[in-house]
Amino acid sequence: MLDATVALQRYPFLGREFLTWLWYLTETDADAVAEAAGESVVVVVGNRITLEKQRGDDTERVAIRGEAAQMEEGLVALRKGALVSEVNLVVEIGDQNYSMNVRGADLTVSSLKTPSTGPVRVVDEMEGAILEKAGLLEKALAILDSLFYSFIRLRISDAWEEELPKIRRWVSQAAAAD
Amino acid sequence: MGLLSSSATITRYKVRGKLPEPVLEAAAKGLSGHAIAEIEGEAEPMAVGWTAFGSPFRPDFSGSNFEVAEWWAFSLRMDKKSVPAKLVNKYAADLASRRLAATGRQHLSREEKKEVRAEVMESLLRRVPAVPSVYDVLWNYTTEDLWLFSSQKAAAEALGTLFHESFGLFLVPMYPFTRAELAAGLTPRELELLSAVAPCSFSE
Repeated sequence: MLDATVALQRYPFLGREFLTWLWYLTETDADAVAEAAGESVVVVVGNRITLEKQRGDDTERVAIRGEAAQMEEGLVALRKGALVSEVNLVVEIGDQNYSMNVRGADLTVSSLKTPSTGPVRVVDEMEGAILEKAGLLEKALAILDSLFYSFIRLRISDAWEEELPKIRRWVSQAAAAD
Repeated sequence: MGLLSSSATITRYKVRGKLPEPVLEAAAKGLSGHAIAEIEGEAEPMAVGWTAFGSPFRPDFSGSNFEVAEWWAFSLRMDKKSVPAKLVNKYAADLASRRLAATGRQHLSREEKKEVRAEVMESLLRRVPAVPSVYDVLWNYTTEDLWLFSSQKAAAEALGTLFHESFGLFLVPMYPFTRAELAAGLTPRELELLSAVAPCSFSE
């Protein structure tokens, strides 16, 4: 097993490529997203996306907040060779909504919001509250993991050679349309 | 952003190694043996240790109260005292003046000045209250998953060190590569391909 720090330094692009692929997939094929997630879910990019491009020792960063209209700037950055470094994802599982920010570098999840759970009024309710919340968090993280594993399997397979031109076409067409 | 807050931040790990049987007893021993020590009134600048989930100022792990079905829930607590440099300078100047007056000398040596600052710092540390930071931890022993409810580097570093000291086990951060390597269920051939993967361009 590769040391985690070495892995982070040697493969810093993996997480960013994953988030970029995921953005492409959510924009082009909702069924493929559900298939990659392994269950009937809707995943869309929410109100925040950050893209980065490494230029020598410098990092060019484009941070976009807002609705879909502002995402055009992100597509232009993609066309210039940037990758998604952090994204806000909105996940719908049945009638439950989740949202989370995912950082590509280390797959840390922040601002993870789950369907609301009841307040803990007395100590005896603590155990139930922990279980309920842990279950909801697990559900959201499992979706993210399934998407990531689907990406990894695709990325190391021959099928990636077919997928990559499709992503490049999406990037160039989407950016050219703006 | 703790476990029960409306918005959670989570850094995920895989636990490497096994606790001695019975594992629940071993976990309780690790937690109580490295429970946070109070440093109020002490000259210690900081303390790191475990505390009970939901009652961070009462680190009680008796009766395996940290076990919640398949999860072990507890918290990492870091207490830190901060003494402003300007305060140290003020008290050090005052103490140095008193030393000089008592001895009738004009100057203190470099070593004496160092001693004065150390003495002042120790005195101030005893009087300054420690500011606690609490980070929830969930550990599923069966699946070897551990979640730290923080993305702060200092918390992650403290967790790795304290976890190893407490349980003799290691935490592997689930970065993209390590997650793919350890949890994606790849075959040996796929793992080889993963190791050889190189960055690609998404633009034409």
